[in-house]
Amino acid sequence: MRARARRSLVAGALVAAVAILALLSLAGARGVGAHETARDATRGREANLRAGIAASRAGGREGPLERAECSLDHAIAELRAASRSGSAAYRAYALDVMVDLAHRLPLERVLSMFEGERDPLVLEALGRVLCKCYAENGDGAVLDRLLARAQRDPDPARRAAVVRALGATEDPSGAALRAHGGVTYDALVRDPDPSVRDAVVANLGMDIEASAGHEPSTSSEALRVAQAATAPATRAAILERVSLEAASASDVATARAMLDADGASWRVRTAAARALGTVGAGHARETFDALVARYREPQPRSVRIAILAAIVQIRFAAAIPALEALEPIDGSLVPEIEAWIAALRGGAQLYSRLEQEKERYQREQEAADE
Amino acid sequence: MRIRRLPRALGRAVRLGAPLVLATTLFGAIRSDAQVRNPHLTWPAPDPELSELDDPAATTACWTGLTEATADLDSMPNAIRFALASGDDRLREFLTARLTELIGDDAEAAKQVLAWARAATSHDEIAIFAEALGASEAAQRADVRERVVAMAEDREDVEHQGAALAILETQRSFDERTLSRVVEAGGSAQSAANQLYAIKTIGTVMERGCESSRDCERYMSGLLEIAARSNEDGSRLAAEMIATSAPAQMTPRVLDRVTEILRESPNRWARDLAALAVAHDAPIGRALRILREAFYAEREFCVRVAIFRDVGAAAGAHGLPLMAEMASAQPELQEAYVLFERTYASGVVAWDRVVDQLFERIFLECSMDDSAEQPGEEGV
Repeated sequence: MRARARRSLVAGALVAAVAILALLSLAGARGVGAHETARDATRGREANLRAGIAASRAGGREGPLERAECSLDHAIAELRAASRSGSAAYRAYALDVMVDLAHRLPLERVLSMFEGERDPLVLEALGRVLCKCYAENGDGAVLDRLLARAQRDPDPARRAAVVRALGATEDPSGAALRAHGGVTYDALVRDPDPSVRDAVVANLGMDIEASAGHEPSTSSEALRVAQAATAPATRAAILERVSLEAASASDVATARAMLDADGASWRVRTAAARALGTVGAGHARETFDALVARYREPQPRSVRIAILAAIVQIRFAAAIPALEALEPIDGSLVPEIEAWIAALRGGAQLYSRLEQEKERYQREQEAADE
Repeated sequence: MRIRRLPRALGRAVRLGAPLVLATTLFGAIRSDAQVRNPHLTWPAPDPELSELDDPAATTACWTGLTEATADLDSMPNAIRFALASGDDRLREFLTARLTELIGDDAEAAKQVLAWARAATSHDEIAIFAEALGASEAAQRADVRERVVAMAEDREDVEHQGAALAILETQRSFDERTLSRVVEAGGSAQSAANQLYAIKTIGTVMERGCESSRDCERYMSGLLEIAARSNEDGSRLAAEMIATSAPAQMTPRVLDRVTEILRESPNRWARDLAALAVAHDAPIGRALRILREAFYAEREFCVRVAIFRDVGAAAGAHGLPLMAEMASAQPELQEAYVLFERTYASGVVAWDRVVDQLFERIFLECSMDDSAEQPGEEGV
């Protein structure tokens, strides 16, 4: 509850206003009537569907579509047709229908189909059904079968399909996988094929977005997986999504280690510096000092730019003396530092507003130079 | 039930207070982008608790012939009519997405779909054509936009005007002329629903498309113009609230208008959000003067609480003297003042982190107790 309330807290005026619009428009003549409840609406949809289907059966009229029996064979044939059509919309639709139908089967049957399936799209659908089953009954053996396939199938397209299935349901998230034990994202993120790694990154990204940086277990998990990743692009892609508002001391230390690591790619270090800018008040001081020290060491330009932004985000106006002290280190970044200082002098209390003010200042400077 | 996708770019209005209540109680209504994009606002979204009713046996239908029926643009109207008659919502959603794919970036295809929308008489059919067209890349093309705007100007045809206003919501930005035509269409719309479509469209495009204060001002002024011309309380409130949420600092002219809302709006939620907008978007010295004046003029306790907090949002530790003054005028705020003072003294900076520290501790009950009275209910 707390997490949900906080998530709403970071949403703002437009969200609220749009919601009001929605309510107001409900009161109008259109759409669902104001007094019709959601429950009534759901019942109504079912009734519509039944009536519509009955009519299309009884009338025997010529239509572009014909009602088919909802068998698994039909759903699989549709999935293959969707896959051939090249239409993403068709694929998503056929996948949904397949998941619905397979979900009605006994678990054992789904498991044996899953083991024997070779088409990545069908495999993804069956994987989603298994995730649903796991979410419903907590049967760890089901999850183990999924994870084993994600790790051991010889075909990267099939491994990626299973990882995508893991992300398509609310559970299991990365943290739940870890709690379960056995294969976790740590292992999957080291897959030799980039499409599998990308699927892991996408799943973690969804977890992070859902918690908006305020669930320590989520950022902690993402950091751990980032650390496990061996491909620099993958590690950076995860770090780019991490925020550390509620992170523990050891998580902050992990992020710092990725900034400091010898031989780390510039992209990883840039992403680590950006993530460090989001630390909460409890870790502000030591993180700030560490970032200033890193700036003084030889660094690629993009890392320095990210460090400056992080310094600003941690200390706001109190960062001005430190920023001024850093000006002599790299003459080419003096305009960047001055833009930040100009923005900070405006006194804004939101980082997003500071960024806007900084960009505005830079645009004005560019215009003046021309 | 987790919320998968938070609308981005909304983090700026971090605060305690009214939007918290609104957001927590109403957030479920805007659960996904798809619903926000749906031009005909089919809220409320199904309640997760109703999932036991969502028996797949009753709601899954299977069809043959989909590949042929969705192969090209010309086959779509027939398929869509069939889907609507069948009552299969999932099929309808698929066909809408498929139609968007088929339009792609082709202006001629987009014009064809717009013509179908124009010719259609059923509300549901129009909604599908409108949603599919709005989501397509071709909707951004100038000649397509021109035709949609022209349809939005037809006041006589309420149904199609509403659809056209909704299609425009996906535009990346509005130039001067397009914006003033949309404002005129919204301001002169005969139906309250169409006023709301215009307001939502302008607000959404503003959020996405304006960067500088001067650029945002056009949209804000447009929204406030619709508010000024509207006889509907709901439209006025919505337009005022959205106008105050622009993603840039206010120009002096807009600041004057927002200050007016803060001073004069009969609606407490509009005053509450106007105070927040002043705090985040006005130069600090000016913001503090306006908030101080508004605090003393304000009669409603909870709006006073909001204004008190907004001083922190505006000025951080520099706002403490004014907060102290407010707390001595309104002793209930004393405890909150001490918390703010302690937080800033410990070196915490930035409003987001202050909120993190004080969340659940400052007058949350003020917001919660009021949750029974939601602004939407005034319009019902």
